Amino acid sequence: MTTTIGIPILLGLLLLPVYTVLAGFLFGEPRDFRTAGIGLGVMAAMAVFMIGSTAMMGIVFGMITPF
Amino acid sequence: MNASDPPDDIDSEAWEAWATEVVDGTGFDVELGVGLARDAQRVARGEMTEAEYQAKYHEDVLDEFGVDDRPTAPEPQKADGSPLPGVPGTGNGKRSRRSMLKTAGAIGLGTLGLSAAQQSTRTVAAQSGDGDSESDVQMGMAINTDRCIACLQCMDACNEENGNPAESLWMAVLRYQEDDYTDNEEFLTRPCQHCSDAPCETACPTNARYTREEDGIVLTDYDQCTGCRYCEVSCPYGVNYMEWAEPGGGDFEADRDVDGVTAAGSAPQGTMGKCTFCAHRQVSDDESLQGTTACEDVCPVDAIHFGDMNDEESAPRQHLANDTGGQPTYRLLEDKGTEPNIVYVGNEPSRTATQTDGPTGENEFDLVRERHGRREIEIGSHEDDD
Amino acid sequence: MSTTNNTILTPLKTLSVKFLALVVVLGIAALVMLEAIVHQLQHGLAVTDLASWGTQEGVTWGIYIGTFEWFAGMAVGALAAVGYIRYNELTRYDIIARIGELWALISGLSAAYLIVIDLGRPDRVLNILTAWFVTVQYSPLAWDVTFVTALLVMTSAMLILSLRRDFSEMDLNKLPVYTALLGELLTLGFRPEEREKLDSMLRWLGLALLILAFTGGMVPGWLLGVVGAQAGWYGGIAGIAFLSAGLMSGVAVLAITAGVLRYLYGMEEALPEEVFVGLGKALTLFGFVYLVVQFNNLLPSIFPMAPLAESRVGEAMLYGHFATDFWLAMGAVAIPMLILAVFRERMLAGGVGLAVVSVVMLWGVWVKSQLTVIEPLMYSSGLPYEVGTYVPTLVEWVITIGSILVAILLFSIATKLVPMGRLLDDTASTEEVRN
Repeated sequence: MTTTIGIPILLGLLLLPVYTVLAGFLFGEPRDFRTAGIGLGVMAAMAVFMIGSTAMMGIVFGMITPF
Repeated sequence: MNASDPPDDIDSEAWEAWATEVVDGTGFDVELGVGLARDAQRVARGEMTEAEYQAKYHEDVLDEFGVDDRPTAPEPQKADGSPLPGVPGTGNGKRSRRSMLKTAGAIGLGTLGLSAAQQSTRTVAAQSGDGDSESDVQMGMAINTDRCIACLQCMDACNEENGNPAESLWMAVLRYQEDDYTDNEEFLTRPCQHCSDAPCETACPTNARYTREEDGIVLTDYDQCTGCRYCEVSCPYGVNYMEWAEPGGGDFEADRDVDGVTAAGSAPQGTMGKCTFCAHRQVSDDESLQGTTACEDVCPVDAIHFGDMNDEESAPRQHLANDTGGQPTYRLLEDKGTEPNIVYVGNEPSRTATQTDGPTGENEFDLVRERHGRREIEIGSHEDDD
Repeated sequence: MSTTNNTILTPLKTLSVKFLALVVVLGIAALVMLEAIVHQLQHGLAVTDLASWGTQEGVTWGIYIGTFEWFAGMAVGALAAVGYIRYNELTRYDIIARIGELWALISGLSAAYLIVIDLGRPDRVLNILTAWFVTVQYSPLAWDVTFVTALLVMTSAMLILSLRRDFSEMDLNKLPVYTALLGELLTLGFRPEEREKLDSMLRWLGLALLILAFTGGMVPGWLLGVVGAQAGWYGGIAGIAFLSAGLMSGVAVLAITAGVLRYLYGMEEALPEEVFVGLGKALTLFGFVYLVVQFNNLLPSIFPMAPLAESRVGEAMLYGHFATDFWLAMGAVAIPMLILAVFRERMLAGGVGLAVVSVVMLWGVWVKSQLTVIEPLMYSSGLPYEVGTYVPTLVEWVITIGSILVAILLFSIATKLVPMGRLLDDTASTEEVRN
């Protein structure tokens, strides 16, 4: 495998908005870690929800798919 | 391969006698040949550097052959002598060993050096349990399209062997014409090219498409494939065949298991299949099946030659060395940078070649082109669109 | 309470027979689509007209992937609009931001499940996630999964956090009971001193969405652009082409929705004409950019110096098999764009005209998305294969059109569940709205 450009693309490009949110929520004025924590918690929960619902979709499709 | 395996100890009398016998048959200087072979093994074992090897025999090789084409320039290194990262041919030393052995092969001693290197590589890999170690074996084919008569027996044998449905033509013989001024019909025998830099593997989002380390065959893990078909769009050769419906082809009788991965035989419904170089034969306990494919076995004009492309004595290399009959050799769409492992003998189809009008003969073998459920294909019916 | 912009609550508080009829009709469409999906799951992709390119003379990616690209683009465009509005705190466009949050989420979800439906083994979709740590190092499809997941996570976070702020400013007792319940859930543990921080966080999240739209937003274009085997996909402009289509269709879907809401619920106060002027300007600009990018994409393939493979694809598009579809699609973007540019005042009054041209432009982008995906596979190059054919089957049409109708259904239901914006009930904000 000669192509490993994915790591710079992931860390340097795709995750830029995540860095922005982390920095902005935690260090943006006014400082309020409780509210920032709620915001980050919401994002983490949604990430789990999205991956979980993908898994659920796979399971449901698997029950319908005969092969 | 050679008749007898070499004794293990390169300093022993038995090894000396064995090597002398082999080199004697080539008609070249026996003393030089045996020396080259012995030191090739030392390089493979890491007891001698490649540079030392090159220097030691440079004069003698020039005397004997009048030319020394072996790479004498040192490989690029950092100032401290460590290998440059990311530069092909450096870093793990495998490539340098390989190029050195190619050189040995070029002067008629390939069997000695290569088998020694294979043994040592495998032994080291087995001892250290290093999963990353690559073998020096790269299976491939030499296909002589100049000999091909488009009997399509290879296509039939392939589908029979792998239990493929009639529409999944892992091996396909394309009939084409170059231009309108001649009626010369030419044939392109097209299995998977088993590329060394396979775009299908780079595309795959589930890591299902992989190269088997032992012999460089490109395979699909049928248990992992999700059927997204990104491999198919990324392949410039059009060799991938999705199983759109329940395959319903013949039976596949061999074991689908290749090193613990379900990768041999026809693809199950909803997954991607393509030529496996008859992977089930390569891992078979039956030694007479190893190193063979169904298409090669059945070809009546000996156009298909399957074997290790890094082995001078293998069927494809021997064919390319001795039997091309002055025909040009080429690799398909080499400009795509895929490093295909099939070498063709004959005329390369140009980008303007068109398929010949009319039936192409698949139906004589109950093979079809059209996917089950889709309308019948007429060759040449789309000329107006061009 | 003043009467400034509480018309934003009108959709929530009314439930007309017409709306119920719409939900029933769309619900039936959803059921038909569900039946088609089950049919396809049971019989596999054999129920489509997809076939392997090469000897089978088909296209292996078809209308599902084309529609995926369309939905993904719409999500990117809506995302960018939301990000822009929230980051710059454009209070007048508050409703547009809410509409955009909903559309980004809905079209992102539609794109995601369309790609799963296109899989040969959709039950194995989880394999893509379990192999992600390895495949993200090289597979653009793994990047795409990363992008779509990021889009869904960040959009839903934006929706939830902005709703938390908006609900906290409302009297939940005056809302319908289910909305009030949602409001109580989302304002759980809310403290008044949180509001200032929430404002700041929404700004940061807006910036993040903008960044996501203009970086990760190109990934679905790269998915095609990196494929060296397909002339017509390969090239440096694929990401830009996708983004330009996305920005235009994202703004178009916002304009349609805003126009329809204003027309149906008389939301003249909440959706003043300036908002439509702004949307119309954006749509004109993005439509123009889209056409420029398309021209740049096509010119090298039809110029006499073009390589054979590229010229086959380009010529089929411009003068050949696909010429009708292609020129209709381009016309569907160019003519509305020109009309908007020339007759701006008349077109934008009331928002209905803008909604109509937006529908036409969206249709044009949809057609072009299909051509982009299908055409290179049909006109394969390299080996002497025949030109392929592709006529989508009934199942494919039902699932594709169904996915669009289901998206509309989801949005319609959302208008009855969540407030369309922030309630501004003091004079200061009234001034702000007026300005």
